[in-house]
Amino acid sequence: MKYQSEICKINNCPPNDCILEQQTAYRFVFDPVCKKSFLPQGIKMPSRIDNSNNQMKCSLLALSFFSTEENAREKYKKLKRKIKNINKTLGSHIAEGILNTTDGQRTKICQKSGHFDFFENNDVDLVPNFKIVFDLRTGA
Amino acid sequence: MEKLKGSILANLPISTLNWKRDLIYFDGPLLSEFISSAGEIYLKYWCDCDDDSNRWMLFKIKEQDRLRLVLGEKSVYEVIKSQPDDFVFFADENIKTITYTMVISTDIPNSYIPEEDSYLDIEDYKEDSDAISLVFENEWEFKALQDVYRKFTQVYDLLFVANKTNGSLGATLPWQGGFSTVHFYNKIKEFIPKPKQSNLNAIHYASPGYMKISSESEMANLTLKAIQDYATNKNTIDSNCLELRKRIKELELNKIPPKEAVSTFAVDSLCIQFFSQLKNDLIGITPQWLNSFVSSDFERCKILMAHFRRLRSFHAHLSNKSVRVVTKVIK
Repeated sequence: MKYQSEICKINNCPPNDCILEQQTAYRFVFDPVCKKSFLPQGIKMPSRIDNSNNQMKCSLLALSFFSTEENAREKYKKLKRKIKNINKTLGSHIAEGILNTTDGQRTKICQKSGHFDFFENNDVDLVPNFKIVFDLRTGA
Repeated sequence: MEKLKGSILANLPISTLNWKRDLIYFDGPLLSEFISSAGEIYLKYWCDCDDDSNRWMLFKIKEQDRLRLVLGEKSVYEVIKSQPDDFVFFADENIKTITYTMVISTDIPNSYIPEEDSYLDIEDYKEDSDAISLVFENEWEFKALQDVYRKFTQVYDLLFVANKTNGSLGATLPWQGGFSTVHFYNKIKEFIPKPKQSNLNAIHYASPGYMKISSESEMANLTLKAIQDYATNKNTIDSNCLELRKRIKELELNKIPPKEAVSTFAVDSLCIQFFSQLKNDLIGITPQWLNSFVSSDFERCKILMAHFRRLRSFHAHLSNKSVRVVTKVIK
């Protein structure tokens, strides 16, 4: 897996109940879509995660996705109300793409929020799979 | 990142901060609660970043405000604006260093202040496992507050005894008049080991006030569920209890000799019908436990009716919003 050296330090990471399944997915990204948009927070900004427990540390080595664009927009709207600069750490756009079974494995989709974590396989590059579909700054 | 107008500090002038929980979390914490070794609560709020640093704002919050923040009654905006000090600290953190800046509250950059409707959702809150917090406003008679606490505790006590202990009450109470109920609740407290008993841990009497009741987490949770379940089925439970009370009055079971009351209750089909319904309606107390705890249906019925009155009384405070419980269990 990608980030294997960090992952193997954490018990039950990725979680045992992860699923190998093709999934259309939506993610917060920067424009243009580049590698920076597909770096897990635990790799990109480790200083933000000092107090995390094992489960959180594991999750922070995965990429956050949503099962629908609507779910992603809703989450962003809620966060933006509470943190004006949220786009600076999460991204300013929503990208849509397909996660294939060869790309990695995902956690179960949260029924309420549509969120799931995706653990990438080694050498996978998700950048070409994803296209921007929504500008969160302008709402278009 | 924005240029801060303030004084750079060599160290953070707060005694050790210990992380307590995250209040906003997405791909890592964005708002976290810390407690200083002096017992003061601080919030650490993510507000900006550049390529190598995250910027956090650290500010003090009073417990009465924190409880209302997590309940979704006060916004993040309000707690930043009304924080008790005239200043906040900013921490620019990267892998190697942390730079602290003290900034006067009025100089906090506008982009670091959230929207006015920045309310949290209680569903995202990780509650304390060993204490239940209640919040209230306005002027309360101390006795009235004491009654709120007592009702909660008595519901908890009965559920604890019904779920965590074996054996019988070891006494036959006449259950005629209020004395038996008082005596019953005093008696069942003896069944609960001291460390598991619920206690009033803290009370902030002045409005906006709060109280904290320590309790065993599993039974505290069952207590909250019982209150919520009562709220959901209130009409059915209330009307059944009213019928039961009327029937007991008709038969004068509170006036005739106790032994006669027990035997009359046992053969009256209406009493048995309403009592059976009540057993089904109240969660957390099994018929098996009731059977082993006291020896007659009349006593069992009186225990359930006392429990019902406490659920009803506590719920009345919640339904008029004069008291709120900081929990996601009660809607």
